[in-house]
Amino acid sequence: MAPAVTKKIVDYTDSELIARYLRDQNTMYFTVLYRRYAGKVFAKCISMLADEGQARDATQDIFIKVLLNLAKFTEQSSFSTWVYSITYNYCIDMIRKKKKMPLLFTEDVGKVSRETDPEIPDSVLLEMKQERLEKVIDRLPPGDKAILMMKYIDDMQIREIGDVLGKTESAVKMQIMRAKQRSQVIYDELYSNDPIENN
Amino acid sequence: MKNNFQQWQSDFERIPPEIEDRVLQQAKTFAAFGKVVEVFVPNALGAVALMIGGEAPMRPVAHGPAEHLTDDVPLWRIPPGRDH
Repeated sequence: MAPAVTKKIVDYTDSELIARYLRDQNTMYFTVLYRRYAGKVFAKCISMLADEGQARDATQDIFIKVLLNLAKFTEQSSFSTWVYSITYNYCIDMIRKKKKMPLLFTEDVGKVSRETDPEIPDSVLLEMKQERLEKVIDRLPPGDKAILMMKYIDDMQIREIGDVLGKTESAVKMQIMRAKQRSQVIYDELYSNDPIENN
Repeated sequence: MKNNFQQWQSDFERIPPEIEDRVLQQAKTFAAFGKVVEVFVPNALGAVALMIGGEAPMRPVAHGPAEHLTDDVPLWRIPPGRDH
């Protein structure tokens, strides 16, 4: 007789872990979810807040928020998208509270692009050398930084980004375009005298 | 294959272990608190209801009188001489 195949807890899908946690209130299930996403949430917090101490506190608060709202997760999006949207909103709120005049998006900085401005291709950012990309991203306003991270790190759809930021799809597209233009301007300011160096 | 953005992020993914301890400790506290609430709140509400002259909510009786029994007798409790 073939032995019964039991699924290991680490092989459970996110939905299975959530359902079991809500049913049994056993923290073992939540631990697996935590280990699956904590690193990524922490990395986003460091990138957004630029402070490791604050990123630690933020990661802890975000997972407590996730835990307390787990029953409200409706699976309209994937669990990862839901967790990341809590992360981005938490970090943006934190930056807003920290600065009295927050510069969240490029239009707040002063340079407002027009729809007729040329579209910057994705390759401009995706082919940038990593250390240069890091410096460019660090100089972007937090909102622009978040929107580019959602698009190029999390592969989120325009609709999902809109849900996170409370913006329409066309507003998100415009925001991405502005963020890319802003990145190009920063890159040119930093490296216009250097020879072009890509990955 | 990671792109340059994802590569840049993965450099920061090493999370300090003490955060896990703190988060999971809080998770355990919430779970324990939830169980306490589940057990005591219905009783407390029943007591308040009685104090203000109402009736305590009906709860299942472990060994109630025979008239509370329905025909849905569990298989292991079929009385002698009674068919399925």
